Amino acid sequence: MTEPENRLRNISNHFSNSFKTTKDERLRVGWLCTYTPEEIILSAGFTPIRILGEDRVDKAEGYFPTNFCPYLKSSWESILNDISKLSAIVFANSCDGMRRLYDICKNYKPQTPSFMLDVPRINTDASLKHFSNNLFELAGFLGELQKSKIEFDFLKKSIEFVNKKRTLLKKLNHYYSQFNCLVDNSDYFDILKLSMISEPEIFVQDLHTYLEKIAEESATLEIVGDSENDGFPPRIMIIGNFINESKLWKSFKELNCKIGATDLCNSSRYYEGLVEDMEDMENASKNSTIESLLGAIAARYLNKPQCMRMANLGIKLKEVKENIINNNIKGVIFFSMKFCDNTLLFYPLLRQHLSETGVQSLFLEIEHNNFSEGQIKTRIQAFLEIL
Amino acid sequence: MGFAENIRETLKIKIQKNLNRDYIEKILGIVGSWPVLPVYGMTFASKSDKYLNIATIKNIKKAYCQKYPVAYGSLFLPYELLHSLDLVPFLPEVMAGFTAGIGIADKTLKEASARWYTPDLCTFHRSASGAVELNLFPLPQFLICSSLACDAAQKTFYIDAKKYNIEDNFYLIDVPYNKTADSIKYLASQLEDISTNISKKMGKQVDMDKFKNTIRLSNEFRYWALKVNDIRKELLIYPKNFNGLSFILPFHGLAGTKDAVVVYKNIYFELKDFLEKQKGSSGNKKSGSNIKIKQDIGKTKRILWLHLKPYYKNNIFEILENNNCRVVFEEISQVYWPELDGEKPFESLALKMLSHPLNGSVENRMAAILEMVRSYRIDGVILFAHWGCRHSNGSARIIKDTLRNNNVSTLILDGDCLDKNNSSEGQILTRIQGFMEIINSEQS
Amino acid sequence: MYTCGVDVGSVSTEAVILCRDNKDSNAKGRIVSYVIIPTGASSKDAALKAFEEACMKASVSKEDVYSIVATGYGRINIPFANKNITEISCHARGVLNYFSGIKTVIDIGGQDSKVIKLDGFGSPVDFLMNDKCAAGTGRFLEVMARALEIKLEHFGEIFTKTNEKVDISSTCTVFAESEVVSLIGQGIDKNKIIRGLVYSIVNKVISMVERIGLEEPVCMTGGVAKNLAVVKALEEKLGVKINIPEEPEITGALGAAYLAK
Repeated sequence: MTEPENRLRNISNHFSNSFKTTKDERLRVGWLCTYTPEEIILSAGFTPIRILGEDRVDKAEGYFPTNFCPYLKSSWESILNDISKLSAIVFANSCDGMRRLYDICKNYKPQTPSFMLDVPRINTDASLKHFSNNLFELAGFLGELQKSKIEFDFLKKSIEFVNKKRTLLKKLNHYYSQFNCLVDNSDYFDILKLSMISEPEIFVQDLHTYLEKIAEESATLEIVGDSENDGFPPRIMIIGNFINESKLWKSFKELNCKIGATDLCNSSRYYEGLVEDMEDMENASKNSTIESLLGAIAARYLNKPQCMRMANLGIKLKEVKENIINNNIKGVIFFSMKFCDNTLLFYPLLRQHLSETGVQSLFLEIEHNNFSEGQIKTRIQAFLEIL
Repeated sequence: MGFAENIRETLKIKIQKNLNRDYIEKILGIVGSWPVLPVYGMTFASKSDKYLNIATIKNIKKAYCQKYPVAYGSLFLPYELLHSLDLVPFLPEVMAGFTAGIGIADKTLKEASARWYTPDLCTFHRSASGAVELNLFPLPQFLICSSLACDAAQKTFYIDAKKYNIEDNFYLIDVPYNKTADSIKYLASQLEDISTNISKKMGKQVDMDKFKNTIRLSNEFRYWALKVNDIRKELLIYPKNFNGLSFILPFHGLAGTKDAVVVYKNIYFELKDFLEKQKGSSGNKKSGSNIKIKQDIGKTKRILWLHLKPYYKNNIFEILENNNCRVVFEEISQVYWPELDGEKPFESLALKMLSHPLNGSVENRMAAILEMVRSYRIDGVILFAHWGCRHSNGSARIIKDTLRNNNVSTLILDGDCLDKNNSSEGQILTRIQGFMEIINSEQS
Repeated sequence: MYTCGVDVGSVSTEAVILCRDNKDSNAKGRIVSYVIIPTGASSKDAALKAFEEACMKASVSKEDVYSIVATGYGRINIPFANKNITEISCHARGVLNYFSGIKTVIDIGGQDSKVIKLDGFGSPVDFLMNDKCAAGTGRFLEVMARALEIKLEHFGEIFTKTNEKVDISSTCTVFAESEVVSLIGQGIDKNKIIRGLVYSIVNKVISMVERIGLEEPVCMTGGVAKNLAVVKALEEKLGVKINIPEEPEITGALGAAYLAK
């Protein structure tokens, strides 16, 4: 496929303001798990910053066993080194590893205030209520850091704002999967990364402008999506945990691998699904309270595309199935960081399900920030050849 | 090898050669029948082991015999609930220990690998999953697990449910992180809902009298377990082959049964005898005691054991004894929960789960460890770092550092509870011996 | 009065004959002779051979050696030894012969590596050993040297030739080897690969040091202590000076000889 001359490449030009985080006067609160509501952090007057664990594990190695989640290890490295200058960190009770990271942080970096957000693994009325209560505690913790209380209006505004950001990211995903020549793998994941670590308001402005330009550009193109759908190369879906590897996305491009859908902790699981019932709340605004807003937030997080940590893997299978059909996927690459039991134990189920439906899958394990490009590339290339 | 050992070896080999569910059921049918079972019990050197093994065989046989509804349960469940619902619990993780004991773990592990279970996963879950895939375990009607401590069980249970085509009968008890009034309520409501739901599927109603009865038995077990733990604060000489790490089932699958009470009552009386003899012998070396006391009791080093032990044949505990060390208490033997209230079964059981030191923050586990170190006057702590156990090994650094600040040495002993190929005997020996040299030099 | 220490390792066996004025293991002794031989297939035979050769070299008859301590992974079945003591205690005691007050010993041997924390008077207070794989050991470097077709001794000078390195991602020796082969295939400068390899082994060791807590002065023992590249990288990453005994390989055997009573 020929690439349009007027490329919209070089994300840094389009998002130059987002890169200038130094202007942000707010204090920063770190988060790790996508079950952590950014809207609550924002409403308390903080800038939420995702800990991406991009640091090379050095000192952190000594705190964990060798066979331990590499994302958490490198996250601990950046926490130890104060990379993001965080005023506080919100952890989530998402998995065994995260619990231990919280323990380590509390023990060896007690000067950084930290909060453990208990996130249910089941989705019932009772768990929703429990989660709402936990969010209330989180709001209390964050409020106290600012020596104030979270206000209803602030929270409501933050919800609307984060919803807007999600909507825009979803739009980005649309262009990414339909017009790969305009938004390629690296662009998509670079922008997603920015969305988690820059000053949110500036980022949303940048993204808005960027998407407008993409829309203009795409209007001049035929919808390549359709022709792509039937022909070569086959569309791939990527399923995994936290796969934040720029080298990898470049490799995919070099191999001319078309990603039609992603289900990752740093892609759809981050932005899919809105906090709903806002309008209902508007109508009933007289008696709506912080609690009702927190309830709506809780519902969004328990209903968003699931992390494999959730109890009902059947729902996860269903989500994958729908994604495969809706995006005309021919092959699935299951990408997991090593030692993530929750994710890795989804694969035996997924593989069986996929083979029953005639979709091929490739299983890849990597260590965060640290993988042998050659080995991975050979595997992906061979997989594409098989398809 | 003695006669009894011979019989057990023969049984093992028979199972190894006829690896299928029906054959296991047949063997259990024979061993578990009267009068074979009491005779089998007599092959164990100590009363404690005798009653434990009788209860174990009896209950596994019950799960295999196809006459009762079976529920798979993960560790740390409130088994009182299952017994109250007339379900026969079957614990794949504990049974995975047996796969190593009877020498079939290499087969089950291989099967799991072939089915794409990651080789980095804990071998308890891999071996159990392999056994399920090989159709070695009884067919369940329900699968119940909890999120307490460990991620892997809940995932493998779901895969099992899918295999047996009973996803609707898969239950995850979502255990909150903190112990608060709100979380007790949340957990209790889940326990109640699950009970109602399961009863409905079984075509009956929740029988609160049954709950009262199992809770009474659970409390009775607790009473004896506390008495045993009390004796062990002094006890240094033990019945032959006694190992506190073997007594997992009474705390889990047997909780709320008469069997658990019988086992612990017998342990109590046996250990009480030993304590009296220990006291007698230290006063008067020429006492007519029939217990040979090899070690010099005054010099014995007191070890606290954290996590589990290898279930295949090994000589770790012999090495310890030969170096004049004795495991005087184990993390798994803690009675960590308050007495249960038969009038409020769901709240009580919720509180029991939330009191587990492995739930929530490592602070809970650490507080429990320090308390054990104090009560049992511990000289050294060994944490058996079972390969792939994220939740336990992830705390190793904090445990070691905290104990060091309390002037207690810790050995992080890397190994594998099930896969002997994943453990090096030589390395284990060097580590233990090195640790003993340190402990012994510290006090001299 | 003579004592002997025999350290039966997986790769090599060392024996040291020590002349002692008295039986106090804290008193200074004099090394009369030492030998280093490959262990080969039988650790028993190697131990006996090393002992006999050391006696011969020292012109001491076997009967004059009143106590023998065996250490190292093959320490268990040495019939002529009076006692077996682990490498941990032996290395701790051995370094005292060269330096006083050592608080941390880093020992990288053929098949395993360990970090030992000392009380400053030659007794261990804590230790850590590598997990079962050979990634942080001398064996790892040997395998890699072979893959690179460069002599291990030359790693030191090559290491200083460049400041750049490639990251070796595999923590497993077998995979790292194939990774190295593919890096060579890509035409990457061997010097950079060597630097990457050295850091890879050093990082493994440092994670153990971190776990146990670093205390100075630090001493390094075992065959890899002769590898200047590893020592330099360790010094740089830990930010401390590392003391190296004249004969780092015999530290275990020497300590054993001291601990023989």
